[in-house]
Amino acid sequence: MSEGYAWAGHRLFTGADGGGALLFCEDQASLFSVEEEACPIVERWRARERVALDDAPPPDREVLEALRDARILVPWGRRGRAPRAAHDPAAIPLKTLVLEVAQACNLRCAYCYAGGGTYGGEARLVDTETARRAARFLVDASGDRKAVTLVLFGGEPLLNLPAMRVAVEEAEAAAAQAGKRLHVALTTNGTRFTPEVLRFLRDHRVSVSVSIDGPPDVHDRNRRYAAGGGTYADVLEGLELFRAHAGRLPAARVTLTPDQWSRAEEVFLHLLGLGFVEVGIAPASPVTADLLPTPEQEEALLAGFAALATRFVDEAREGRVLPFANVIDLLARLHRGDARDVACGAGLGYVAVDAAGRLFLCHRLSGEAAFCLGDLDAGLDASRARACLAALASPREEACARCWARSLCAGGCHYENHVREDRLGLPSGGSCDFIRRWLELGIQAYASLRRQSADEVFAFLERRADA
Amino acid sequence: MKKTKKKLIRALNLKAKAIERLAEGEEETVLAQGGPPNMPQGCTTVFDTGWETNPRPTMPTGNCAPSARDYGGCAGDCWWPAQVPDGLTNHADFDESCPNVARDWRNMKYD
Amino acid sequence: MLKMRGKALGLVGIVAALATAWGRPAQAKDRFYHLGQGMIQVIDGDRDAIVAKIPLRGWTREAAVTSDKKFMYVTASRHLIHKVSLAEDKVVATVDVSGDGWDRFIYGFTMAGDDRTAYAAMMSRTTRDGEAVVGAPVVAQVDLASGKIVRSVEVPWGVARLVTVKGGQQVYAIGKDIYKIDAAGGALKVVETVPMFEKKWNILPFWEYGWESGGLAAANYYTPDIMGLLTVDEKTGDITDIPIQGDPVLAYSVILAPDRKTAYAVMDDLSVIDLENRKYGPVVPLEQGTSYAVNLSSDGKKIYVGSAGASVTIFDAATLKRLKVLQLASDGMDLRRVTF
Repeated sequence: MSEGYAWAGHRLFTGADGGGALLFCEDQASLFSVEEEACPIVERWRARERVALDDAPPPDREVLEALRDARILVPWGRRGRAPRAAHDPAAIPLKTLVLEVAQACNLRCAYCYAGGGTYGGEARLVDTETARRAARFLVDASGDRKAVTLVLFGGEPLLNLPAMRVAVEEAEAAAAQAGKRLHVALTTNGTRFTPEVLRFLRDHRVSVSVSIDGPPDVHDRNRRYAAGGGTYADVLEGLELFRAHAGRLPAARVTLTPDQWSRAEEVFLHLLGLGFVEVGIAPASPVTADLLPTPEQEEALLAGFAALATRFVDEAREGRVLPFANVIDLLARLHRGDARDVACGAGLGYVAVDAAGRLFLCHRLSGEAAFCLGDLDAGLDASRARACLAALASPREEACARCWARSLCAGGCHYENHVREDRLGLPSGGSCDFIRRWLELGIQAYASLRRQSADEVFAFLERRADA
Repeated sequence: MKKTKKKLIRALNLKAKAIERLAEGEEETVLAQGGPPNMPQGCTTVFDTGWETNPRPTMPTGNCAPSARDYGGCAGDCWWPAQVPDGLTNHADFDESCPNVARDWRNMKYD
Repeated sequence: MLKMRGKALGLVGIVAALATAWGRPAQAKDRFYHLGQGMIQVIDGDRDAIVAKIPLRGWTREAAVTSDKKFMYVTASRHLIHKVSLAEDKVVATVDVSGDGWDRFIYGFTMAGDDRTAYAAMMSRTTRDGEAVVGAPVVAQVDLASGKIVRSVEVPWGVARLVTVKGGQQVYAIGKDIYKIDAAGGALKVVETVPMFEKKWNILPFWEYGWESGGLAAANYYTPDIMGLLTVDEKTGDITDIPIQGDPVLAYSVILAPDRKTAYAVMDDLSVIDLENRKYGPVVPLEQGTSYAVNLSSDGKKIYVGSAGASVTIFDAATLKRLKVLQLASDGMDLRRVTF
């Protein structure tokens, strides 16, 4: 005699086009569609804590059996969430190292989390010896990984071309010696491209992201020179030089302050028009209390993202991929159904090195003593990484355990949480609703994508998820 | 018997499809177990000494000895993952402290 | 003449007497290898005594022998392959098939025919973003010096035993069904599936004793009604089904007698099977308890039952009388014979 079945944590999304519903399994991140005629049956049985298939009349039973096969109904004896083991930082070899080549910047962006690029300290450039050792450390600490990534970051990394050059050349030599592939990425403000820099980037196949915030009035409001004055015109000039060298534009990385959130769609279209290969939009972190959004501003940003998601689906119908990174990355994860229990790789294969050769949990937490994991001399202290991650996770563990989106969000950005809770003294969970609405938007977009034949787009999403 | 009528609940993403395939496999396993009674279908998953102890009125009629006899074969491979150390994931070296279970069972340490 | 003849006879008599005193003639020397936990123990088939202990890492599972009988490759903990020198009775090298972030598990192992590589049926897993990822089941050709996979082919379901046939031209993967894999070309390829599942066969082919049985691997299977023997001729690749009439006996493994007229099956009992008439003969309970493995002396006169628990019981094949019980240092999985 069967003990019956319990409901696994799930979320039922109704009211989208098509009349049916979407069923999302919280732990598995699996997504099912429910036909319209099955919806009342699902609704009726959801009211019961325990479901006995034998009690169900045949039409209900068919639906319940499908739910069992979908693991939405689980044997009663196996109800409840099986906790996953915590990741052990000591067991995860290094994959990505972010080198803060220059903790200095020629810009003073209004929203900068690095305090003008210095991360709260003195402006300084990494010396070539530290750059060399950081590059070597990346390869040496990468265990049996076949590929590693070096990210050149700042401040503005192009203020320190000599150290960049040493780091890249050393990483290349070390990777070649160890038989590994090396990928180098650079994030720059786009004001410092010279033929010499561009030759270097091309010769070493560096992937480039340029920070640009959209049309001149949006961009120049926040992205200003230290000496004053907007940077839009100079960035555009730099981009033309880049295009002349590379034959195309790089990727664009946008930061919008809450008062600009209503302009997300316009910003995207402007940058697409300039010819960027891909555009990603980040809402600015509330590094100061005046950058905390109002509910209306959050609403406006979601509306902009929703419009772009609809555009993405429309383009996909024609077999084209709209190069909006936020939607692409979310859909890629939803497509595969990746369930995560950590929000990102910080301290778990990902580490930042500052100009003094100290190791930090991530590039955004650089310079904060509480998140220092060691230095290039002593190496990464896994017990400190473990402690940092546990401390960051603990305030939200209970809320996450109750949240349907936990396997997609896994607690959100460590830095964002740190700023809100430790610096501004806000209770945890302040951005949860916003995140959940963004994820639901993605789920609905994914479902409408599924309703059409968009094989090439799904193939693209699969490649993206694997990358 | 596969039904050809419209599916009321359909897998959308790759994870959901993988889960559905899992269910198909289970159906086959259940079918495969439709053999005659008393047939060994793999070991028991409840805390029981197992079918091999005494399915018939012949030797061995006790139950401790035979359970111990095939301890090493059931551990390691996870045939009985609840009762014996699983040698594939959590207790890879379970055999080191207890190579001979009838003699060394006191040394077994796992949870 | 007569005297000389008598003298000559006398010499023959002395040699014969010496031979009796030593046991059997030296040309067929049996050694049995008990595959245990963290060790192999060696039993001399003349004296039926334990003569060597070979320590190794892990819990042993499968074994395969090189064509010159100098080395036995033994899998342990499902991912290690130990190279055992049979002359020195020691492990001389060990490789691990796990690596590159993947755990691999061997379920089925056979020499590939070139003495440098083996086929291993493998399951695999890794983790991605904190999630378990399970690889497709494969049959892989493994370089025995490095443990690296030379080539591999996916099989529809995991398999439990491999048999190399036709001198390495093909390898049979036995599990839910039998997959015939062509190994002669550049890539391994599943070329035929011999159905068992749809015939309602249920088989646990962990023990097949191919090399002890003159190249005829055998495993028992069950249908809802009967037990049968499945044999694979390693030379020709022929698969034969021998259904046995009557209520089935319960058996983990069976071994064919050298004359192939009789087979012996073990689990909780030692059961004799009359292959000529395809019916069961006498059944003797195993007082030592459940046993996985059964083997025979090369002349077929002694039956060695053992492993599971730490004992091997030796029976007289003609009378089914118990001759000796050997107590071992460890429990085990299998008992293999190599005749030198």
